[in-house]
Amino acid sequence: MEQRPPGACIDTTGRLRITNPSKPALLLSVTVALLLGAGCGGGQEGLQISEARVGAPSGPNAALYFTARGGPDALVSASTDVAAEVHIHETLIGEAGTMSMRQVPRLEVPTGGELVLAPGGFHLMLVGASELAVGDTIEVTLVWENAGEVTVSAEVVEPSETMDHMEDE
Amino acid sequence: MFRRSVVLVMVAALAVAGCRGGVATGDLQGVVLETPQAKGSFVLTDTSGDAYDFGDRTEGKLALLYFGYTECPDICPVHLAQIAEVLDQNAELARNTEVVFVSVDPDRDSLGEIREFLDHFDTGFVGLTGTHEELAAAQEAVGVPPATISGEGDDYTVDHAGWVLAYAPDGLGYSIYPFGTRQSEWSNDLQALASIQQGG
Repeated sequence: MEQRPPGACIDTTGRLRITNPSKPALLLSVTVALLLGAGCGGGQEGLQISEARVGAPSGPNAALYFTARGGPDALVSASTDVAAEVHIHETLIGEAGTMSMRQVPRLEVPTGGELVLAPGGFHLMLVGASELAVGDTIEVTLVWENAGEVTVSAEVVEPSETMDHMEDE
Repeated sequence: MFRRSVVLVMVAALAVAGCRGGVATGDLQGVVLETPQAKGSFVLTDTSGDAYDFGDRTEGKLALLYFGYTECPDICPVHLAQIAEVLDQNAELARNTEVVFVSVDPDRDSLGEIREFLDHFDTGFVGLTGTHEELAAAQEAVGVPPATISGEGDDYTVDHAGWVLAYAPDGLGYSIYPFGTRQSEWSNDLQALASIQQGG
């Protein structure tokens, strides 16, 4: 198997693969080196995407979650072969505890901060992705204002496991 | 008054059955209601097409009631998966628990689609729906705000109560479970609630 540097790499197709998101300094240097060495166009220094996961669908739609760091940047759209459409959604909890879901045009990754997509907050709704099952891995292309297209891999997990990120905090 | 009778019931249960640990609502980790709520009564249609009387069918059982819709990809599956996970690990608890999911999106969710949705979690989960009027009456009967439609065309979403209602086997609701309830809290509370028996 090809040896990858720890941290991350972006290949010439813009694919970002995070293997060790806990080392941002190393990640940045690896990213810069790759940008310089591979002439990788469209990528932005330091945009890091981790914990990409999809809750196994029980209905026609599935939800994709991830965490992005290394802004400023903004997610403006996404696509995948396994869904007819991908909507950027926010789940809102009203004062009375009522849950509602809204489509939003963009999601910002603040400078020095992070954008967290997690159950009960933001998610990407994969419309018509009912065939996905636990254990599948899908590829989703995220389109960022600055970084351009970035394709990430996300594993399909049990819906309860999509919460793990929240439970860890 | 409700609390006192519950305590009496529990003391009796402890004395008679030697129930492990002993349970008081203080042990509950969900959102404990100030006053226990009597179980609301309503009749809707189950996924077999038969009438389902919530009060009758859940009598003497731990009942968990949730209003949602099958196109909800985010919070509905998490609630149901969490409950299924607890019941998977405790067959006795599962036997005495009725999990009832009510689709508040009857225009899109057919009975078959509701069944298919629930089977992803547990084939024993009960799926219900009805006319808009019946659904409004059911939500009113159990004290949750009525679900409303947002948006237009086929892409509309449904705003709905985000919490799970829980009724102990004695027919009272002591606590509710908003989205974000942790797995460990579900596990603790389902066992605690199941031990609050009716009749003393």
